[in-house]
Amino acid sequence: MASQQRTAHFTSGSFRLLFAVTGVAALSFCSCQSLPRETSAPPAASRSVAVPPGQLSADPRQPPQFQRPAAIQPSYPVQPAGFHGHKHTGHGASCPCCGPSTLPAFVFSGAATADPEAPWKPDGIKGPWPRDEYLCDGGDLNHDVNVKRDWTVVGLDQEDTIAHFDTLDGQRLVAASNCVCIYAPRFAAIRQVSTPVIYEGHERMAGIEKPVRVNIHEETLGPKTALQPEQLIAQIGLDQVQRFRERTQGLLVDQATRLELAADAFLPREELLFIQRGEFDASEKARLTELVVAAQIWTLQQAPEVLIDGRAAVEVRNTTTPQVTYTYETFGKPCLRLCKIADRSEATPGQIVTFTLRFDNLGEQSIGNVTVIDNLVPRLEYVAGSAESSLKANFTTQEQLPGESLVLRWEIDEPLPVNAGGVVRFQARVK
Amino acid sequence: MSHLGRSLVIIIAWLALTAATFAQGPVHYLNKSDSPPGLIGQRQLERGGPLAGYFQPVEITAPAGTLISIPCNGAFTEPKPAKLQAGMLIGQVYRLKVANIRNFEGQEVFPTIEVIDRLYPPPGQAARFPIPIELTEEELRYALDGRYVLRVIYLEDVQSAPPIRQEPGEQRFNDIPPGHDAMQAADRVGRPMAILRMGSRVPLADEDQAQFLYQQPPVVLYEPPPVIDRKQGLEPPLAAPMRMGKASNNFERLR
Repeated sequence: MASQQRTAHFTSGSFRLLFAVTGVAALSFCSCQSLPRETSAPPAASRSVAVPPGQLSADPRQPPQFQRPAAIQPSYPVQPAGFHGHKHTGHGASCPCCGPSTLPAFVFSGAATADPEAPWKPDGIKGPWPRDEYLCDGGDLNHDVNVKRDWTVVGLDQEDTIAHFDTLDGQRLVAASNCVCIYAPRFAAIRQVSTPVIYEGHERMAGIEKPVRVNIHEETLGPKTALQPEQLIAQIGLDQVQRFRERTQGLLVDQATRLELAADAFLPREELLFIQRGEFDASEKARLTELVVAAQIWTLQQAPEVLIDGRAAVEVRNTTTPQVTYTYETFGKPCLRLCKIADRSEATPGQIVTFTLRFDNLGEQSIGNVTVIDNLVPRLEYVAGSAESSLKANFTTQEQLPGESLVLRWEIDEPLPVNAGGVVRFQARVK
Repeated sequence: MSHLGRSLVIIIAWLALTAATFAQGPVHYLNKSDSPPGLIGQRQLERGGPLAGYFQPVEITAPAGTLISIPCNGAFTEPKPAKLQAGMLIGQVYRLKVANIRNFEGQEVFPTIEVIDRLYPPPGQAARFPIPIELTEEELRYALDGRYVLRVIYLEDVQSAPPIRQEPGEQRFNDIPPGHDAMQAADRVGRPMAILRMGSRVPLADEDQAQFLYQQPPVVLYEPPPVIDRKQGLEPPLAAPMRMGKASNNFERLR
């Protein structure tokens, strides 16, 4: 009887132990799976920031004016640890002149993330492919650039080119440019020099000595299959170098007067109505497409973005509560279009690439404090003294890390009226 | 222990296996740098894609004064001084001949090149962007001393490329010690494109020439662009058309 009780007691105890072990294991497994990837809390889902009252007009009965505070030095983009900007998925109103607000991120046509089932694209394809052979600059990579109340720009990744501005109703908005890609592959090598007499490699615990065998494989032939057809006749047309002999390239270039010498003139590639006056002409679409390369702002997929999301009231909680509230009703939606082009679509290390940024106020109200920011990729080196601007602006540069990417910043002094625009340009050397 | 113990062991083993399944496993590399020449390229061809039949331009540079030649039509071509550009098939092995090495005149080195991947440049720009393969004077001296030099040339990833200025004609390289795999090291930092193997191997007198030259795969030779002396004009003047069977000195004026 006593043994039966011990057996029953042991059985019930074993069940309890079994359930406890299973429960703990399942709980730990499920909790591991349910843990979020980022432990830091994301910020408030907003990309527009209310301008502090001190930056507007002192008299509330007067219309607000744009004032760039002189005491506030522009704080350069520093990505704070744990900052994860929200995806722009349709918060706020969209700007009709700049396309819908729910724009997909810029992806390469051959990227696996775009369509893993997509077939390979042959030569002559439109757009950059594959990614590691192209040098891209422009756009907002993660759609997370945000300007804080103290003018700090956060979420500015490498390659990003954005502009932020203030509106009459106190919003601070961000507009991203298109992405410009240049074919500029760069190579490096891994070298291994071995001497078979000196080296002995112990690669396994069993103590097998495996010296590096030199020249032994030279005696054996690799497998030769019939997979490699000989298409010499078909490839004759690829020999472009020999054709250059009979061409008269460069004859006129020596004697031509360069337009760059003329003051306040546009460069030869900027002979476009869109760049000079901001007017889009359908006849220029082909040339614009060639200059912009992969970024086509005229299509729905690659249209520039202007984000007018509302920010939560977290930013104004600590300010003094106003006793009297004046409400300004401004009509029209703000919109800034930012377009970026490059003067060449391919470059080798050492060559200079000239970038041109055209910005236009296509909204229905004036905007102010327009600031254009370009974060260069590490392989682009800014040519000192090459920055230009058609409008009066304050140009500064800031190094993110020593020897790494550089941030270019143009602060346009005057407000930008409706249908007005400007051009900034700079040169960069391909590393 | 009998029934419950077995159940407990099975559950614990299942949980362990499940956890191991969700954990990320190690990466297994198929290709190794000590594979026989041509094996990695042939495996690339077996994977499919637009690799077969494409002549990938390759530019071989050597120190000044060095002569480089490549087999074509049964014999080595006329040596090119210090630079040679050729289109090579992927998966084939090309034997080069490097001669007139400084301080080692009279000795020759026969490196091999295996192209294992290709570039996708814009149409008509293939010859402007060849795969650069650099033969340094130090490496040529290593080969003459009997050492074995292996170079895996890779395409840098733009996102992770170091922000170092690279002058035209120079190629940055990193040394790895013996016992490590150069293919794996290159694959971690970019896309391996070509393999250069160079040792003290020379053709023997009684050796099959075709075997030494790896059956002489087809090659496309690129001529360098003509050197233009601007002091003498961009190009030679055009000859005037014949007039009544005789040479004329000037063109007729069109009215």
